[in-house]
Amino acid sequence: MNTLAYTPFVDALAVHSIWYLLIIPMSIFLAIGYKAIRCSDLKKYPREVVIFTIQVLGGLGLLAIAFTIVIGVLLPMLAPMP
Amino acid sequence: MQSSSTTELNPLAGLVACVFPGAGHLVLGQRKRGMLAMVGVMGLFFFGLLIGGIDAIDSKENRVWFYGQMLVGPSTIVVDQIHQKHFKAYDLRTGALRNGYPGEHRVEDGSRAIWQPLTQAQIESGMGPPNLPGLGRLNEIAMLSIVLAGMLNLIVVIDALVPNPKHMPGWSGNQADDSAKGGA
Repeated sequence: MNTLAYTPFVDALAVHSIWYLLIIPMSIFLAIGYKAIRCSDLKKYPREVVIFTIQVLGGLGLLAIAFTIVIGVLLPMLAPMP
Repeated sequence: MQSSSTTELNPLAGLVACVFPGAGHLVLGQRKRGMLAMVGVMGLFFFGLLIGGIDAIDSKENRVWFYGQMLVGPSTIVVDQIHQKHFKAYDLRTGALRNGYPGEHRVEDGSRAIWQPLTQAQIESGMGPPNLPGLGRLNEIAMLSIVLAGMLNLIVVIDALVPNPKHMPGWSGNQADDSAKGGA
């Protein structure tokens, strides 16, 4: 079998260098599905999807900053490498 | 007259929602909600497959992830069966059913498929295993995306099974007021 050609949905996509950007479409799809159920007035649906997406991405961004501080600053202070 | 503002169990909508994401809401007459829920769940599902390939669903090698992925419904089981039967083969040395490595190709040997090593000339001609598995972080993100689709679908199924009366077609705030007055 020839594997030179990339086959969508069969082969993995070679996007290792931008893996963190994959969070964005995931958050958008999650917001589309979740707000379809939770939104009481569908007229406000697009606005709520945008807000929810920003909340998810903002939360993940804050977590990333917090973990960077813990691993990059606090841990080296508490347990310095010899 | 019975008020539509009370929460009632709808087993048919719940069952249909288990078969295909969002279909339960179509049964309830909530066409737009059903379509949007389907876009959300199946969007996450196909996004995971696009990133990690068919290897993102594997009931044998990633069993715990597969339990979460199964919440999407029969689609996951169909993809897993295709993966197990058409992309995996037996390793003749260990007897294990596995994905192929570069430098191998899948050969039907009687009732089962086996991995056979390729010659240098065959490798240079472009032969190899039928799929390229996702590795490391990308594989994790792909599996996570499909598990998220499953978790989201669980919420969609519960909402179809026990529909919110405020979301039902023809519901208005006055109905809730009327039933409250009638019950008082």
